[in-house]
Amino acid sequence: MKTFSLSHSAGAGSPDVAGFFDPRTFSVQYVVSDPATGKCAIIDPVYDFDEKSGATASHHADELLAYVEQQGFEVQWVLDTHPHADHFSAARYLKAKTGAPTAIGEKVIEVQKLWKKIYHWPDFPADGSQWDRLFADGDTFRIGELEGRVMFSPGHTLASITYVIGDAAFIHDTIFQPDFGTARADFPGGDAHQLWRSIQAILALPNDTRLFTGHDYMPDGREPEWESSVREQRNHNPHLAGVAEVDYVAMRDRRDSELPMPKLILHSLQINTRGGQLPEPEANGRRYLKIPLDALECAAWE
Amino acid sequence: MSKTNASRPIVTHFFDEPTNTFSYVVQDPESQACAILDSVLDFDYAAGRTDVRSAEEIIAFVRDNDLQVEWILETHVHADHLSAAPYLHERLGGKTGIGANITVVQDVFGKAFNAGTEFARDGSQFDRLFEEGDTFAIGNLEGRVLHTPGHTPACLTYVIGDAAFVGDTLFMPDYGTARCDFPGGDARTLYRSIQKVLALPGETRIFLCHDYKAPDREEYQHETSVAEQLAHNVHVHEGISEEEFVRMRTERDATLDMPRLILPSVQVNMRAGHMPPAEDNGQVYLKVPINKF
Repeated sequence: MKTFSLSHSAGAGSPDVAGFFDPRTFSVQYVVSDPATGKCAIIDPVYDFDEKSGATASHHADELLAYVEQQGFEVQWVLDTHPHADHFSAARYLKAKTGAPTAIGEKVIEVQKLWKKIYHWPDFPADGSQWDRLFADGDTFRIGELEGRVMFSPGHTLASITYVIGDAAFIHDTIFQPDFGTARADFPGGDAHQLWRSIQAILALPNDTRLFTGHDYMPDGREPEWESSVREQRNHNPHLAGVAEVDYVAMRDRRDSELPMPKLILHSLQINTRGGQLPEPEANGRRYLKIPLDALECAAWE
Repeated sequence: MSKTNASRPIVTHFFDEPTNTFSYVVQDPESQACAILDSVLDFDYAAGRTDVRSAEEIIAFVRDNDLQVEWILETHVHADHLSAAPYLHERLGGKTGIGANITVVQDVFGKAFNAGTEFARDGSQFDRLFEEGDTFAIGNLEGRVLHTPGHTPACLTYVIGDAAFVGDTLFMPDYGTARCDFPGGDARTLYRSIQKVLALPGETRIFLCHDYKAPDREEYQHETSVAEQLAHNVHVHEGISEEEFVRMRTERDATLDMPRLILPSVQVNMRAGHMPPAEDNGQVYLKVPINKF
Protein backbone atom coordinates (compact mmCIF):
# COMPACT_ATOMS: atom_id res chain seq x y z
CA MET A 1 0.00 0.00 0.00
CA LYS A 2 1.24 3.47 -0.81
CA THR A 3 1.75 5.33 2.48
CA PHE A 4 4.07 8.12 1.33
CA SER A 5 4.25 10.58 -1.50
CA LEU A 6 5.94 13.87 -2.20
CA SER A 7 4.18 16.70 -4.01
CA HIS A 8 6.79 19.05 -5.40
CA SER A 9 7.05 22.80 -5.06
CA ALA A 10 5.86 24.74 -8.11
CA GLY A 11 8.55 27.39 -7.53
CA ALA A 12 9.16 30.30 -5.17
CA GLY A 13 6.49 30.61 -2.49
CA SER A 14 5.22 27.08 -3.13
CA PRO A 15 5.96 24.32 -0.59
CA ASP A 16 7.10 20.74 -0.98
CA VAL A 17 4.43 18.60 0.63
CA ALA A 18 5.24 15.12 1.94
CA GLY A 19 2.15 13.06 2.82
CA PHE A 20 2.26 10.13 5.24
CA PHE A 21 -0.74 7.80 5.37
CA ASP A 22 -1.78 5.90 8.51
CA PRO A 23 -3.78 2.87 7.31
CA ARG A 24 -5.07 2.17 10.82
CA THR A 25 -7.04 5.43 11.03
CA PHE A 26 -7.03 6.33 7.31
CA SER A 27 -5.40 9.65 8.30
CA VAL A 28 -2.94 11.68 6.26
CA GLN A 29 -0.16 13.58 8.02
CA TYR A 30 1.93 16.18 6.28
CA VAL A 31 5.41 17.68 6.38
CA VAL A 32 5.18 21.02 4.55
CA SER A 33 8.57 22.47 3.76
CA ASP A 34 10.09 25.59 2.24
CA PRO A 35 12.63 24.48 -0.38
CA ALA A 36 14.47 27.80 -0.02
CA THR A 37 15.22 27.54 3.71
CA GLY A 38 14.58 23.95 4.82
CA LYS A 39 12.04 25.13 7.40
CA CYS A 40 8.94 23.00 7.75
CA ALA A 41 5.64 22.53 9.52
CA ILE A 42 4.07 19.23 10.53
CA ILE A 43 0.30 19.09 10.07
CA ASP A 44 -2.07 16.66 11.78
CA PRO A 45 0.43 14.14 13.13
CA VAL A 46 -0.97 10.88 14.54
CA TYR A 47 -0.10 9.36 17.90
CA ASP A 48 -0.79 5.64 17.62
CA PHE A 49 -3.41 4.06 19.85
CA ASP A 50 -4.79 0.53 20.03
CA GLU A 51 -8.23 0.81 21.55
CA LYS A 52 -8.47 -2.90 22.25
CA SER A 53 -5.52 -3.02 24.62
CA GLY A 54 -5.33 0.68 25.48
CA ALA A 55 -1.70 0.80 24.29
CA THR A 56 -0.15 3.93 22.77
CA ALA A 57 2.90 4.21 20.51
CA SER A 58 4.80 6.84 18.54
CA HIS A 59 5.56 4.85 15.37
CA HIS A 60 3.96 7.37 13.03
CA ALA A 61 5.27 10.45 14.80
CA ASP A 62 8.76 8.95 14.78
CA GLU A 63 8.44 8.29 11.06
CA LEU A 64 7.77 12.01 10.57
CA LEU A 65 10.76 12.92 12.72
CA ALA A 66 13.01 10.54 10.79
CA TYR A 67 11.92 12.17 7.53
CA VAL A 68 12.55 15.65 8.92
CA GLU A 69 16.00 14.61 10.08
CA GLN A 70 16.87 12.84 6.86
CA GLN A 71 15.89 15.92 4.84
CA GLY A 72 17.76 18.24 7.20
CA PHE A 73 14.60 20.25 7.92
CA GLU A 74 13.95 22.43 10.92
CA VAL A 75 10.43 22.12 12.36
CA GLN A 76 8.88 25.57 12.89
CA TRP A 77 5.30 24.55 13.62
CA VAL A 78 3.29 21.56 14.75
CA LEU A 79 -0.22 22.28 13.48
CA ASP A 80 -3.60 20.66 13.86
CA THR A 81 -6.55 21.50 11.62
CA HIS A 82 -9.07 20.58 14.32
CA PRO A 83 -9.53 18.38 17.38
CA HIS A 84 -9.76 15.01 15.64
CA ALA A 85 -12.34 12.38 16.52
CA ASP A 86 -10.63 9.38 15.00
CA HIS A 87 -7.02 9.50 16.15
CA PHE A 88 -4.84 11.00 18.83
CA SER A 89 -2.80 14.07 17.91
CA ALA A 90 0.97 13.68 18.26
CA ALA A 91 1.37 17.46 18.65
CA ARG A 92 2.47 17.29 22.26
CA TYR A 93 4.92 14.49 21.54
CA LEU A 94 6.44 16.33 18.58
CA LYS A 95 6.71 19.59 20.48
CA ALA A 96 8.64 17.72 23.19
CA LYS A 97 10.94 16.23 20.54
CA THR A 98 11.50 19.32 18.40
CA GLY A 99 10.71 22.31 20.59
CA ALA A 100 8.48 23.70 17.82
CA PRO A 101 5.34 25.58 18.91
CA THR A 102 1.92 23.99 18.52
CA ALA A 103 -1.15 25.71 17.08
CA ILE A 104 -4.81 25.13 16.24
CA GLY A 105 -7.87 27.29 15.50
CA GLU A 106 -9.05 29.53 18.36
CA LYS A 107 -12.56 28.06 18.30
CA VAL A 108 -11.03 24.99 19.91
CA ILE A 109 -12.04 26.71 23.15
CA GLU A 110 -15.70 26.14 22.28
CA VAL A 111 -14.95 22.48 21.62
CA GLN A 112 -13.11 22.26 24.93
CA LYS A 113 -16.12 23.67 26.77
CA LEU A 114 -18.40 21.17 25.11
CA TRP A 115 -16.27 18.14 25.96
CA LYS A 116 -15.29 19.41 29.39
CA LYS A 117 -18.91 18.83 30.32
CA ILE A 118 -19.14 15.43 28.67
CA TYR A 119 -15.96 14.23 30.37
CA HIS A 120 -16.76 15.98 33.65
CA TRP A 121 -13.44 17.74 34.12
CA PRO A 122 -14.34 20.48 36.60
CA ASP A 123 -10.75 21.73 36.86
CA PHE A 124 -9.89 21.63 33.16
CA PRO A 125 -8.90 25.05 31.79
CA ALA A 126 -11.03 25.36 28.65
CA ASP A 127 -9.02 28.34 27.45
CA GLY A 128 -6.79 26.99 24.69
CA SER A 129 -3.72 27.35 26.91
CA GLN A 130 -2.69 23.83 25.85
CA TRP A 131 -1.40 25.26 22.54
CA ASP A 132 1.28 27.88 21.91
CA ARG A 133 -0.82 29.76 19.40
CA LEU A 134 -4.54 29.94 18.65
CA PHE A 135 -5.25 31.12 15.13
CA ALA A 136 -8.01 33.58 14.32
CA ASP A 137 -9.63 33.67 10.88
CA GLY A 138 -7.23 35.37 8.44
CA ASP A 139 -4.16 35.04 10.68
CA THR A 140 -0.86 34.53 8.90
CA PHE A 141 2.32 32.74 9.94
CA ARG A 142 5.69 31.91 8.37
CA ILE A 143 7.42 28.67 7.45
CA GLY A 144 10.81 30.00 6.36
CA GLU A 145 9.95 32.26 3.45
CA LEU A 146 6.54 30.70 2.88
CA GLU A 147 3.45 32.45 4.07
CA GLY A 148 0.68 30.49 5.72
CA ARG A 149 -2.83 31.85 6.06
CA VAL A 150 -5.70 30.57 8.16
CA MET A 151 -9.26 30.16 6.87
CA PHE A 152 -11.93 29.10 9.30
CA SER A 153 -13.67 26.02 7.90
CA PRO A 154 -16.31 25.00 10.46
CA GLY A 155 -18.90 22.34 9.78
CA HIS A 156 -17.22 19.03 10.49
CA THR A 157 -16.27 20.52 13.85
CA LEU A 158 -16.83 24.10 14.90
CA ALA A 159 -13.08 24.60 15.33
CA SER A 160 -11.94 23.26 11.94
CA ILE A 161 -9.55 25.44 9.97
CA THR A 162 -7.81 25.26 6.60
CA TYR A 163 -4.15 26.17 6.30
CA VAL A 164 -3.37 27.83 2.96
CA ILE A 165 0.38 27.72 2.45
CA GLY A 166 1.48 29.15 -0.92
CA ASP A 167 -0.42 27.19 -3.57
CA ALA A 168 -1.29 24.37 -1.15
CA ALA A 169 -4.34 24.14 1.10
CA PHE A 170 -4.65 21.67 3.98
CA ILE A 171 -8.36 21.15 4.13
CA HIS A 172 -8.50 18.11 6.35
CA ASP A 173 -12.05 16.99 7.12
CA THR A 174 -13.99 19.19 4.70
CA ILE A 175 -13.55 17.64 1.27
CA PHE A 176 -12.16 14.17 0.67
CA GLN A 177 -10.83 12.88 -2.66
CA PRO A 178 -13.08 13.68 -5.64
CA ASP A 179 -14.16 10.03 -5.93
CA PHE A 180 -15.31 9.91 -2.32
CA GLY A 181 -17.11 13.07 -1.21
CA THR A 182 -17.11 15.22 1.92
CA ALA A 183 -16.74 14.93 5.69
CA ARG A 184 -19.60 14.17 8.05
CA ALA A 185 -21.12 17.02 10.03
CA ASP A 186 -22.93 15.26 12.87
CA PHE A 187 -20.43 15.38 15.73
CA PRO A 188 -21.17 17.66 18.68
CA GLY A 189 -20.71 21.17 17.25
CA GLY A 190 -20.92 19.99 13.62
CA ASP A 191 -23.28 21.57 11.06
CA ALA A 192 -23.94 20.65 7.42
CA HIS A 193 -24.85 24.23 6.37
CA GLN A 194 -21.62 25.55 7.81
CA LEU A 195 -19.67 22.76 6.16
CA TRP A 196 -21.18 23.69 2.79
CA ARG A 197 -20.14 27.32 3.20
CA SER A 198 -16.65 26.33 4.32
CA ILE A 199 -16.32 24.10 1.28
CA GLN A 200 -17.44 26.94 -1.02
CA ALA A 201 -14.70 29.14 0.43
CA ILE A 202 -12.14 26.42 -0.35
CA LEU A 203 -13.52 26.03 -3.88
CA ALA A 204 -13.13 29.81 -4.33
CA LEU A 205 -9.34 29.40 -4.09
CA PRO A 206 -7.49 29.51 -7.46
CA ASN A 207 -8.31 26.51 -9.66
CA ASP A 208 -4.78 25.08 -9.52
CA THR A 209 -4.55 25.18 -5.74
CA ARG A 210 -3.27 21.83 -4.50
CA LEU A 211 -5.75 20.47 -1.98
CA PHE A 212 -4.47 18.05 0.66
CA THR A 213 -7.16 16.15 2.49
CA GLY A 214 -7.06 14.64 5.96
CA HIS A 215 -8.40 11.18 5.29
CA ASP A 216 -8.72 8.73 2.50
CA TYR A 217 -10.92 5.65 2.68
CA MET A 218 -9.70 4.02 -0.54
CA PRO A 219 -13.03 3.53 -2.34
CA ASP A 220 -13.25 0.34 -4.40
CA GLY A 221 -9.93 -0.78 -3.00
CA ARG A 222 -7.80 1.78 -4.86
CA GLU A 223 -4.48 2.90 -3.41
CA PRO A 224 -4.59 5.72 -0.86
CA GLU A 225 -4.60 9.24 -2.36
CA TRP A 226 -4.74 12.61 -0.70
CA GLU A 227 -3.99 15.32 -3.25
CA SER A 228 -6.47 16.95 -5.61
CA SER A 229 -7.08 20.43 -7.04
CA VAL A 230 -9.89 22.94 -6.74
CA ARG A 231 -10.72 22.27 -10.39
CA GLU A 232 -10.97 18.50 -9.90
CA GLN A 233 -13.16 18.90 -6.87
CA ARG A 234 -15.47 21.35 -8.64
CA ASN A 235 -15.86 19.06 -11.62
CA HIS A 236 -15.90 15.61 -10.09
CA ASN A 237 -16.73 15.50 -6.39
CA PRO A 238 -20.11 13.71 -6.29
CA HIS A 239 -21.25 15.68 -3.25
CA LEU A 240 -20.38 19.03 -4.84
CA ALA A 241 -20.37 19.06 -8.64
CA GLY A 242 -23.62 20.68 -9.77
CA VAL A 243 -25.13 20.35 -6.28
CA ALA A 244 -27.06 23.15 -4.55
CA GLU A 245 -26.70 23.92 -0.84
CA VAL A 246 -30.17 22.71 0.09
CA ASP A 247 -29.62 19.37 -1.64
CA TYR A 248 -26.17 19.03 -0.14
CA VAL A 249 -27.44 19.60 3.38
CA ALA A 250 -30.29 17.13 2.91
CA MET A 251 -27.88 14.52 1.51
CA ARG A 252 -25.34 15.15 4.28
CA ASP A 253 -27.87 14.94 7.11
CA ARG A 254 -29.43 11.79 5.68
CA ARG A 255 -26.07 10.09 5.24
CA ASP A 256 -24.80 11.16 8.65
CA SER A 257 -27.87 9.75 10.37
CA GLU A 258 -26.85 6.31 9.06
CA LEU A 259 -23.19 6.47 10.11
CA PRO A 260 -21.94 4.90 13.32
CA MET A 261 -19.78 7.08 15.55
CA PRO A 262 -16.08 6.82 14.71
CA LYS A 263 -14.71 4.11 16.91
CA LEU A 264 -12.29 6.42 18.69
CA ILE A 265 -14.38 9.57 19.17
CA LEU A 266 -14.76 9.16 22.93
CA HIS A 267 -11.12 8.23 23.33
CA SER A 268 -9.71 10.86 20.96
CA LEU A 269 -11.45 14.01 22.09
CA GLN A 270 -10.09 13.75 25.59
CA ILE A 271 -6.54 13.69 24.21
CA ASN A 272 -7.08 16.18 21.42
CA THR A 273 -8.93 18.80 23.48
CA ARG A 274 -5.81 18.71 25.68
CA GLY A 275 -3.49 19.47 22.79
CA GLY A 276 -2.41 15.84 22.46
CA GLN A 277 -1.58 15.37 26.13
CA LEU A 278 -2.59 12.19 27.97
CA PRO A 279 -4.75 12.60 31.08
CA GLU A 280 -3.00 13.09 34.43
CA PRO A 281 -2.20 9.83 36.21
CA GLU A 282 -4.33 8.59 39.10
CA ALA A 283 -2.84 7.93 42.53
CA ASN A 284 -1.56 4.52 41.35
CA GLY A 285 0.56 6.26 38.70
CA ARG A 286 -1.53 4.95 35.80
CA ARG A 287 -3.37 7.11 33.29
CA TYR A 288 -6.96 6.36 32.33
CA LEU A 289 -9.23 7.54 29.57
CA LYS A 290 -12.88 7.97 30.43
CA ILE A 291 -15.73 6.63 28.34
CA PRO A 292 -18.99 8.41 29.19
CA LEU A 293 -21.90 5.98 29.00
CA ASP A 294 -25.07 6.99 27.19
CA ALA A 295 -23.90 10.60 26.78
CA LEU A 296 -23.79 10.72 22.95
CA GLU A 297 -26.78 10.10 20.73
CA CYS A 298 -26.79 8.03 17.57
CA ALA A 299 -25.71 4.56 18.50
CA ALA A 300 -25.83 2.21 15.53
CA TRP A 301 -27.72 -0.85 16.69
CA GLU A 302 -28.76 -2.31 13.39
CA MET B 1 -33.18 -45.85 36.31
CA SER B 2 -33.78 -45.02 32.71
CA LYS B 3 -33.36 -41.45 31.62
CA THR B 4 -36.31 -39.26 32.54
CA ASN B 5 -37.24 -35.87 31.24
CA ALA B 6 -35.92 -34.47 34.48
CA SER B 7 -32.39 -35.15 33.32
CA ARG B 8 -32.89 -33.54 29.92
CA PRO B 9 -33.45 -29.79 30.14
CA ILE B 10 -35.08 -27.77 27.39
CA VAL B 11 -32.36 -25.44 26.11
CA THR B 12 -33.16 -22.33 24.09
CA HIS B 13 -30.33 -20.27 22.66
CA PHE B 14 -30.14 -16.56 21.90
CA PHE B 15 -27.36 -15.29 19.65
CA ASP B 16 -25.77 -11.86 19.76
CA GLU B 17 -23.97 -11.52 16.45
CA PRO B 18 -21.95 -8.35 17.25
CA THR B 19 -20.13 -10.27 20.01
CA ASN B 20 -20.69 -13.83 18.67
CA THR B 21 -22.18 -14.76 22.04
CA PHE B 22 -24.79 -17.40 22.88
CA SER B 23 -27.03 -16.83 25.88
CA TYR B 24 -29.25 -19.65 27.05
CA VAL B 25 -32.51 -20.26 28.84
CA VAL B 26 -32.31 -23.69 30.45
CA GLN B 27 -35.70 -25.00 31.40
CA ASP B 28 -36.96 -27.85 33.56
CA PRO B 29 -39.42 -29.82 31.38
CA GLU B 30 -41.42 -30.83 34.46
CA SER B 31 -41.98 -27.39 35.96
CA GLN B 32 -41.83 -23.72 35.00
CA ALA B 33 -38.37 -23.30 36.49
CA CYS B 34 -35.50 -22.02 34.38
CA ALA B 35 -32.03 -20.51 34.51
CA ILE B 36 -30.54 -17.83 32.25
CA LEU B 37 -26.90 -18.24 31.31
CA ASP B 38 -24.42 -15.68 30.00
CA SER B 39 -26.75 -12.84 29.09
CA VAL B 40 -25.63 -9.87 26.96
CA LEU B 41 -26.09 -6.14 27.49
CA ASP B 42 -25.88 -4.45 24.09
CA PHE B 43 -23.02 -1.97 23.88
CA ASP B 44 -22.00 0.36 21.07
CA TYR B 45 -18.45 1.18 22.13
CA ALA B 46 -17.95 3.94 19.57
CA ALA B 47 -20.97 5.90 20.80
CA GLY B 48 -20.61 4.72 24.42
CA ARG B 49 -24.24 3.61 24.46
CA THR B 50 -25.86 0.62 26.12
CA ASP B 51 -29.16 -1.03 25.28
CA VAL B 52 -31.27 -3.91 26.56
CA ARG B 53 -32.72 -5.20 23.31
CA SER B 54 -30.98 -8.56 23.67
CA ALA B 55 -32.08 -8.89 27.29
CA GLU B 56 -35.63 -7.97 26.29
CA GLU B 57 -35.70 -10.92 23.88
CA ILE B 58 -34.95 -13.24 26.76
CA ILE B 59 -37.50 -11.51 28.98
CA ALA B 60 -40.16 -11.91 26.30
CA PHE B 61 -39.32 -15.60 25.94
CA VAL B 62 -39.51 -16.15 29.70
CA ARG B 63 -42.86 -14.35 29.92
CA ASP B 64 -44.36 -15.98 26.81
CA ASN B 65 -43.59 -19.37 28.28
CA ASP B 66 -44.64 -18.40 31.77
CA LEU B 67 -41.28 -19.42 33.20
CA GLN B 68 -39.96 -18.82 36.67
CA VAL B 69 -36.34 -17.67 36.71
CA GLU B 70 -34.46 -19.35 39.52
CA TRP B 71 -30.90 -18.55 38.45
CA ILE B 72 -29.05 -15.97 36.42
CA LEU B 73 -25.66 -17.55 35.87
CA GLU B 74 -22.34 -16.60 34.35
CA THR B 75 -19.76 -19.13 33.22
CA HIS B 76 -17.04 -16.50 33.80
CA VAL B 77 -16.14 -12.82 33.73
CA HIS B 78 -16.51 -12.25 30.01
CA ALA B 79 -14.03 -10.15 28.09
CA ASP B 80 -16.06 -9.64 24.94
CA HIS B 81 -19.49 -8.49 26.06
CA LEU B 82 -21.18 -6.83 28.99
CA SER B 83 -23.47 -8.96 31.15
CA ALA B 84 -27.16 -8.04 31.43
CA ALA B 85 -27.53 -9.95 34.71
CA PRO B 86 -28.55 -6.92 36.84
CA TYR B 87 -31.25 -5.90 34.37
CA LEU B 88 -32.62 -9.43 34.08
CA HIS B 89 -32.48 -9.83 37.84
CA GLU B 90 -34.45 -6.63 38.33
CA ARG B 91 -37.07 -7.64 35.77
CA LEU B 92 -37.34 -11.37 36.40
CA GLY B 93 -35.93 -12.12 39.84
CA GLY B 94 -33.79 -15.20 40.44
CA LYS B 95 -30.41 -15.53 42.10
CA THR B 96 -27.14 -14.63 40.40
CA GLY B 97 -24.18 -16.99 40.45
CA ILE B 98 -20.60 -17.34 39.21
CA GLY B 99 -17.46 -19.31 40.11
CA ALA B 100 -15.83 -18.72 43.49
CA ASN B 101 -12.58 -17.72 41.79
CA ILE B 102 -14.27 -14.48 40.73
CA THR B 103 -12.41 -13.00 43.71
CA VAL B 104 -9.08 -13.59 41.93
CA VAL B 105 -10.39 -11.82 38.85
CA GLN B 106 -11.80 -8.98 40.95
CA ASP B 107 -8.46 -8.51 42.63
CA VAL B 108 -6.49 -8.35 39.36
CA PHE B 109 -8.90 -6.06 37.53
CA GLY B 110 -9.83 -3.99 40.58
CA LYS B 111 -6.17 -2.96 40.60
CA ALA B 112 -5.91 -2.55 36.84
CA PHE B 113 -8.87 -0.19 36.76
CA ASN B 114 -7.93 1.48 40.06
CA ALA B 115 -11.44 0.84 41.32
CA GLY B 116 -12.38 2.63 44.52
CA THR B 117 -12.74 1.02 47.93
CA GLU B 118 -16.47 0.71 47.29
CA PHE B 119 -15.64 -2.13 44.92
CA ALA B 120 -15.60 -5.27 47.07
CA ARG B 121 -13.22 -7.98 45.87
CA ASP B 122 -15.05 -10.75 47.75
CA GLY B 123 -17.63 -11.75 45.16
CA SER B 124 -20.43 -10.27 47.28
CA GLN B 125 -22.00 -8.74 44.14
CA PHE B 126 -23.31 -12.24 43.34
CA ASP B 127 -25.88 -14.21 45.31
CA ARG B 128 -23.90 -17.41 45.08
CA LEU B 129 -20.27 -18.28 44.46
CA PHE B 130 -19.92 -21.84 43.19
CA GLU B 131 -17.18 -24.19 44.32
CA GLU B 132 -16.09 -27.29 42.45
CA GLY B 133 -18.75 -29.98 42.82
CA ASP B 134 -21.45 -27.67 44.15
CA THR B 135 -24.97 -28.51 43.09
CA PHE B 136 -28.05 -26.37 42.63
CA ALA B 137 -31.64 -26.94 41.57
CA ILE B 138 -33.64 -25.60 38.63
CA GLY B 139 -37.03 -27.02 39.54
CA ASN B 140 -36.45 -30.77 39.40
CA LEU B 141 -33.26 -30.44 37.41
CA GLU B 142 -29.96 -30.74 39.16
CA GLY B 143 -27.09 -28.50 38.16
CA ARG B 144 -23.53 -29.40 39.05
CA VAL B 145 -20.44 -27.23 38.86
CA LEU B 146 -17.09 -28.16 37.35
CA HIS B 147 -14.32 -25.64 37.73
CA THR B 148 -12.81 -25.31 34.28
CA PRO B 149 -10.21 -22.54 34.48
CA GLY B 150 -7.66 -21.78 31.76
CA HIS B 151 -9.33 -19.10 29.66
CA THR B 152 -9.75 -17.19 32.93
CA PRO B 153 -9.16 -18.33 36.52
CA ALA B 154 -12.89 -18.14 37.31
CA CYS B 155 -14.28 -20.17 34.41
CA LEU B 156 -16.65 -22.94 35.20
CA THR B 157 -18.88 -25.41 33.42
CA TYR B 158 -22.49 -25.93 34.48
CA VAL B 159 -23.60 -29.53 33.98
CA ILE B 160 -27.39 -29.54 34.04
CA GLY B 161 -28.89 -32.96 33.39
CA ASP B 162 -27.40 -34.16 30.11
CA ALA B 163 -26.33 -30.66 29.07
CA ALA B 164 -23.00 -28.98 29.76
CA PHE B 165 -22.57 -25.22 29.41
CA VAL B 166 -18.87 -24.97 28.89
CA GLY B 167 -18.34 -21.21 28.60
CA ASP B 168 -15.04 -20.41 26.92
CA THR B 169 -13.26 -23.74 26.99
CA LEU B 170 -14.26 -25.64 23.88
CA PHE B 171 -15.73 -24.12 20.75
CA MET B 172 -17.23 -26.04 17.84
CA PRO B 173 -15.03 -29.01 16.84
CA ASP B 174 -14.07 -27.30 13.56
CA TYR B 175 -13.03 -24.10 15.38
CA GLY B 176 -11.19 -25.39 18.43
CA THR B 177 -10.68 -23.92 21.87
CA ALA B 178 -10.63 -20.64 23.79
CA ARG B 179 -7.57 -18.43 24.09
CA CYS B 180 -5.57 -18.44 27.30
CA ASP B 181 -3.61 -15.21 27.20
CA PHE B 182 -5.78 -12.95 29.34
CA PRO B 183 -4.56 -12.06 32.85
CA GLY B 184 -4.78 -15.28 34.88
CA GLY B 185 -5.27 -17.47 31.81
CA ASP B 186 -3.12 -20.58 31.25
CA ALA B 187 -3.02 -23.07 28.39
CA ARG B 188 -1.99 -26.08 30.48
CA THR B 189 -4.81 -25.37 32.92
CA LEU B 190 -7.27 -25.12 30.04
CA TYR B 191 -6.14 -28.47 28.66
CA ARG B 192 -6.81 -30.13 32.01
CA SER B 193 -10.18 -28.40 32.32
CA ILE B 194 -11.15 -29.60 28.88
CA GLN B 195 -10.24 -33.17 29.86
CA LYS B 196 -12.72 -32.86 32.74
CA VAL B 197 -15.44 -31.81 30.31
CA LEU B 198 -14.54 -34.58 27.87
CA ALA B 199 -14.76 -37.14 30.68
CA LEU B 200 -18.52 -36.57 30.80
CA PRO B 201 -20.65 -39.21 29.03
CA GLY B 202 -20.15 -39.19 25.27
CA GLU B 203 -23.76 -38.21 24.55
CA THR B 204 -23.59 -35.16 26.83
CA ARG B 205 -24.86 -32.16 24.93
CA ILE B 206 -22.28 -29.36 24.92
CA PHE B 207 -23.55 -25.79 24.61
CA LEU B 208 -21.03 -23.17 23.59
CA CYS B 209 -20.68 -19.58 24.68
CA HIS B 210 -19.40 -18.42 21.29
CA ASP B 211 -19.21 -19.37 17.66
CA TYR B 212 -17.27 -17.65 14.91
CA LYS B 213 -18.22 -19.95 12.04
CA ALA B 214 -15.23 -21.78 10.57
CA PRO B 215 -13.56 -22.38 7.25
CA ASP B 216 -16.12 -24.26 5.10
CA ARG B 217 -18.98 -23.52 7.49
CA GLU B 218 -21.35 -20.60 6.82
CA GLU B 219 -23.86 -21.16 9.63
CA TYR B 220 -23.44 -20.33 13.29
CA GLN B 221 -23.70 -23.37 15.56
CA HIS B 222 -24.07 -23.55 19.31
CA GLU B 223 -24.43 -27.23 20.17
CA THR B 224 -22.19 -30.26 19.92
CA SER B 225 -21.46 -33.31 22.09
CA VAL B 226 -18.63 -34.79 24.09
CA ALA B 227 -18.27 -37.60 21.55
CA GLU B 228 -18.03 -35.15 18.65
CA GLN B 229 -15.44 -33.08 20.47
CA LEU B 230 -13.34 -36.12 21.27
CA ALA B 231 -13.46 -37.29 17.70
CA HIS B 232 -13.10 -34.03 15.82
CA ASN B 233 -12.00 -30.98 17.81
CA VAL B 234 -9.18 -29.53 15.74
CA HIS B 235 -7.22 -28.42 18.81
CA VAL B 236 -7.89 -31.10 21.32
CA HIS B 237 -9.34 -34.27 19.80
CA GLU B 238 -8.41 -37.61 21.34
CA GLY B 239 -4.70 -38.24 20.90
CA ILE B 240 -3.48 -34.65 21.18
CA SER B 241 -1.15 -34.46 24.15
CA GLU B 242 -1.04 -31.74 26.75
CA GLU B 243 2.35 -30.61 25.46
CA GLU B 244 1.13 -30.40 21.87
CA PHE B 245 -1.92 -28.45 22.94
CA VAL B 246 0.02 -26.00 25.09
CA ARG B 247 2.49 -25.32 22.30
CA MET B 248 -0.27 -24.77 19.71
CA ARG B 249 -2.38 -22.62 22.04
CA THR B 250 0.52 -20.44 23.18
CA GLU B 251 1.78 -19.87 19.65
CA ARG B 252 -1.69 -19.02 18.41
CA ASP B 253 -2.49 -16.69 21.29
CA ALA B 254 0.65 -14.68 20.57
CA THR B 255 -0.86 -13.73 17.19
CA LEU B 256 -4.27 -12.60 18.51
CA ASP B 257 -5.40 -9.03 19.12
CA MET B 258 -7.13 -8.21 22.37
CA PRO B 259 -10.92 -8.56 21.99
CA ARG B 260 -12.52 -5.28 20.98
CA LEU B 261 -14.55 -4.95 24.17
CA ILE B 262 -12.18 -6.38 26.77
CA LEU B 263 -11.62 -3.10 28.60
CA PRO B 264 -15.29 -2.07 28.85
CA SER B 265 -16.48 -5.64 29.52
CA VAL B 266 -14.20 -6.65 32.30
CA GLN B 267 -14.78 -3.60 34.47
CA VAL B 268 -18.55 -4.10 34.27
CA ASN B 269 -18.57 -7.88 34.54
CA MET B 270 -16.24 -7.92 37.54
CA ARG B 271 -19.07 -5.98 39.20
CA ALA B 272 -21.61 -8.67 38.26
CA GLY B 273 -22.78 -6.50 35.38
CA HIS B 274 -23.27 -3.35 37.45
CA MET B 275 -21.86 -0.10 36.12
CA PRO B 276 -19.13 1.68 38.08
CA PRO B 277 -20.46 4.37 40.44
CA ALA B 278 -21.48 7.64 38.75
CA GLU B 279 -19.32 10.73 39.21
CA ASP B 280 -20.82 13.68 41.06
CA ASN B 281 -22.43 14.96 37.86
CA GLY B 282 -24.53 11.79 37.81
CA GLN B 283 -22.72 10.49 34.72
CA VAL B 284 -21.25 6.99 34.60
CA TYR B 285 -17.83 6.59 32.98
CA LEU B 286 -15.96 3.47 32.01
CA LYS B 287 -12.19 3.67 32.24
CA VAL B 288 -9.57 2.77 29.68
CA PRO B 289 -6.19 2.14 31.30
CA ILE B 290 -3.44 3.41 29.02
CA ASN B 291 -0.52 1.06 28.33
CA LYS B 292 -1.55 -1.51 30.92
CA PHE B 293 -2.46 -4.47 28.71
